[in-house]
Amino acid sequence: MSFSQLSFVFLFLPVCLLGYFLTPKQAKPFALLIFSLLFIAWGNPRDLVFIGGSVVFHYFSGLQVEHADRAGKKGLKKAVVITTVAADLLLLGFFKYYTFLWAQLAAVLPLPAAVSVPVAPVGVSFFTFSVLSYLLDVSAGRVKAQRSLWKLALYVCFFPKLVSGPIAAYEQMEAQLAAPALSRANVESGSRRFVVGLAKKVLLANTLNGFFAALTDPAAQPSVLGVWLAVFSYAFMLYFDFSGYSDMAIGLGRVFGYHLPENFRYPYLSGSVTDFWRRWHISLGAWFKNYVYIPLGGSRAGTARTVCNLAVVWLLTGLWHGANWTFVVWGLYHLALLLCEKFILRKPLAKTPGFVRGVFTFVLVILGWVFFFNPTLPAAGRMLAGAFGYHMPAVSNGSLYTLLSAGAWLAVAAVGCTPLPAKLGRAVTRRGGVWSGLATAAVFALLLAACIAGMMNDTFASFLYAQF
Amino acid sequence: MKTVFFGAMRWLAAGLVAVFLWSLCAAAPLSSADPDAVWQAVTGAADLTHMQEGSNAMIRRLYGIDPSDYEACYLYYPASNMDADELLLVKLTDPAQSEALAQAAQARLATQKASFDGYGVAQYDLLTHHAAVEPAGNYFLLAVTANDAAVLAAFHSAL
Repeated sequence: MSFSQLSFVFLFLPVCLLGYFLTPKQAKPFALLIFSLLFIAWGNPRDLVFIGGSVVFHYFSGLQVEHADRAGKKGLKKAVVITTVAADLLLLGFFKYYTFLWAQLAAVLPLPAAVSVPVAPVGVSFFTFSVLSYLLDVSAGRVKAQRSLWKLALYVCFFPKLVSGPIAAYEQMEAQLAAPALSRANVESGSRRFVVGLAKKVLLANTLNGFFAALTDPAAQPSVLGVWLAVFSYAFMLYFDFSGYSDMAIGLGRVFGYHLPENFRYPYLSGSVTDFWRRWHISLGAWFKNYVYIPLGGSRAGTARTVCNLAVVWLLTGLWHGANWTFVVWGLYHLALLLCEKFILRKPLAKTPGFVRGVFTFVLVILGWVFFFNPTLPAAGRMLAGAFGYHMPAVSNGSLYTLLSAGAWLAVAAVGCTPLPAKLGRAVTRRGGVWSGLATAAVFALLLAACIAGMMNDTFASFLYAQF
Repeated sequence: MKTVFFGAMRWLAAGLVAVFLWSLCAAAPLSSADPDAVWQAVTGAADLTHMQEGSNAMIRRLYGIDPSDYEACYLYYPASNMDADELLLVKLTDPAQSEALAQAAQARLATQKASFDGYGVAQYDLLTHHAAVEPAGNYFLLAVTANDAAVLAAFHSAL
């Protein structure tokens, strides 16, 4: 079930909210767990076995790690951590990478056909990182092992963040699990955030997806203009799709009284690629930093080790998005850019005007998306070559037509990527008084109505990050 | 003693998940059947009176999926606004694509149900009781037709 489906907005969510707020305060987290399990079962009841099994496995792993630590059995503790991490990676690897790896091996070895991999459980990449976060936090002594199985289950299954994050570290969520911060202010701001996210997805991302699909249709006549329009459309679509989902997740979390970490901070306004990665999919970056980069030694063990650690992180970041060489190259492309900034361009960049740095970063980032959305490396290569006029006419009738129809949307999307709309909203709400309240309510009612119309009119378009 | 108990319980949980996963894998082997032949078998078992053949553009419009991402896609969709019969057959390039397809198919069914709810009783009944979303290894079938059981049987025997 997707947050932008009518069945979610008009059936699941109202029932869930009603049930949650009618439940006595002490039992609210438990009620939320029940609704989260229903959410999972609605998509595919079989996923309950995988996610439930993972929760039970990590519950006992956490207890065993803590018990071994207290008893001074360091070898046992290490063994439990290693086997648990290995089991997690095996499960994730089987669902996401087995077919890809088998195909690579079958290309050079006489192997039989790969076994069929069942549909992966919903949010497998996200819940695997959540349970790993729990185990590694317990192992490092940052938190105590969770004594309550249902609290750990709520942390893993909490439906607003289950499908596509944000990946909330266990350390961040632990205190909230049994004591949600319920308030009218949270319900109001959370609802507004949810509507903003829904609008980003339904009104902007889905519309841009239409332009992107038309521009990349194999039947469309290719041109340099068409390639750049496709790249811009995809860049904005991906941002509004994923940040829209994150807004909805954070908003829902807030309505239920839970604080989820931010995932985006105007990434397309970044002054460098390093800055971009502090603003894009922040929770994933933080996860890799805290649980991979720093444990490997971070940047404290000399230049060669730093480069090696960064390479591991970016190879994993690329692979996390999918089992395809295009994602590996995308990760390595960002690694190369980050290394250039860190070791070569630090001084020149510091002297470059902010606007120039911003434009340069934006172009580099959106060119990187070419590897992200193309199914194969040759296709990505052809597109990149085409973007610079190699074997491609400058314009085509189709691209000119799309420019006319998509131009205004791209302009709206460009403004939507800046803090301007939020500032405008805050300026209105800060004025206070009846008129300000009415204006805010009217704007959000209109946005919601437009989203509902869009959802009824549009056919289904799943969230892009749900596939990762 | 506690450590042993915790260890036993964690491996029990891991074992149960592994057995469940193994049973799913064994239940859905990959098929090397020709997709044209599978489509012929499926359409042969269905009543196509209330359906028309759909293009790739229509697949994209109705399901939000890109047919070029798959090895083969076939569609019969409702012949008119008052019909709900539909057949979608997809041969996957990667069995992992099944998840997104199942999501898209469920969403399509939900949209159709919402369209006919309280309006087209027969169509709503068809969508509720005669709709099958059937992933099978590297194949995927959505069938909304009165004789869905026969279509499913034909689908599986063709794989």
